[in-house]
Amino acid sequence: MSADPPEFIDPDNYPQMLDVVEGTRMLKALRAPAVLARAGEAMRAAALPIRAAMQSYVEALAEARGDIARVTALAREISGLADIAGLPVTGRICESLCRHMDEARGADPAIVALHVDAILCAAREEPQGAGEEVAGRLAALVAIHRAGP
Amino acid sequence: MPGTNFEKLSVLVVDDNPHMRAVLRTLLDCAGIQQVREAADGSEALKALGECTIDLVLTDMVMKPMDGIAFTRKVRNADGSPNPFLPIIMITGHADRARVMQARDAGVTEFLAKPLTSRNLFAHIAGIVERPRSFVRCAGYFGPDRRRRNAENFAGPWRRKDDFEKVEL
Repeated sequence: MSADPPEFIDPDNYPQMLDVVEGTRMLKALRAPAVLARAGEAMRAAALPIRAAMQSYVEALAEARGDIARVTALAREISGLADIAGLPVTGRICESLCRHMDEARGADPAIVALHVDAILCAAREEPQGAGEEVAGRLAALVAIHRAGP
Repeated sequence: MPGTNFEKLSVLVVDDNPHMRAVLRTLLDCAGIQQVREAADGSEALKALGECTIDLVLTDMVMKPMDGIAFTRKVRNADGSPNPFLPIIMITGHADRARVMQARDAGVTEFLAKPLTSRNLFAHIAGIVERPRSFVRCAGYFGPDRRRRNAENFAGPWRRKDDFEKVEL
């Protein structure tokens, strides 16, 4: 017995977000240099308040060391904001930690602790710190752990 | 919503982080879109969809109690979903292959890997307008066609109905 064949529904046969005229207007707006410049400026303006918010997560992370679930949740929050805050290395270390937390065979407490230390250093000292190198080494450590013995 | 000025589009931003929601709202405002609703997780988002017309969703992936994947599945498949064809852009820093596949199989329209930039966001929204995708309904899946590329020299195996249109006999 064969399964029913798949049904394909073309874009012409379901409601679109906009008609052609408005879609074209929107595309022009989304690509307009003035709009992109304004949006870029808005992102730069957001960096400072976002950095302040991020620092509160970083302080919470320092206090949450032993609580794996809380550490994971905070790392995800920091990771989401770090690039906008202008702290990309902090974001990379958080992403590395999140990847490690997702491992099926469980997180290694020593690797978690190393990440937390690195996040605290990177978030507090950037851009002076040697965070880029640390982030790279931690990512490599997580990859080795994931590959297993 | 055909006939509507794009400035009147209604966008739902779903993220458990209020700062991220504020950034997305600001970027949409820069593009001229001012009708933005916010929700902190998938269940709040579903509630919002039931209360007003939403034209586009920007959603985070990892949220509690309902994450972006479960939310997308509900929009696509739940009985009484207000719009199973709703464009959904998933924005996340967790862009490893397994998660991207998970999002794709849930039925997201576009996947935007962080870092978030205005160019990135606008390009993904433009993609939805410029290249709307066919939807597919088959056993175990309803959502945008998951094939993003047509391999020129692909010689089978053929699995889908429109594959046969490509075969020259």
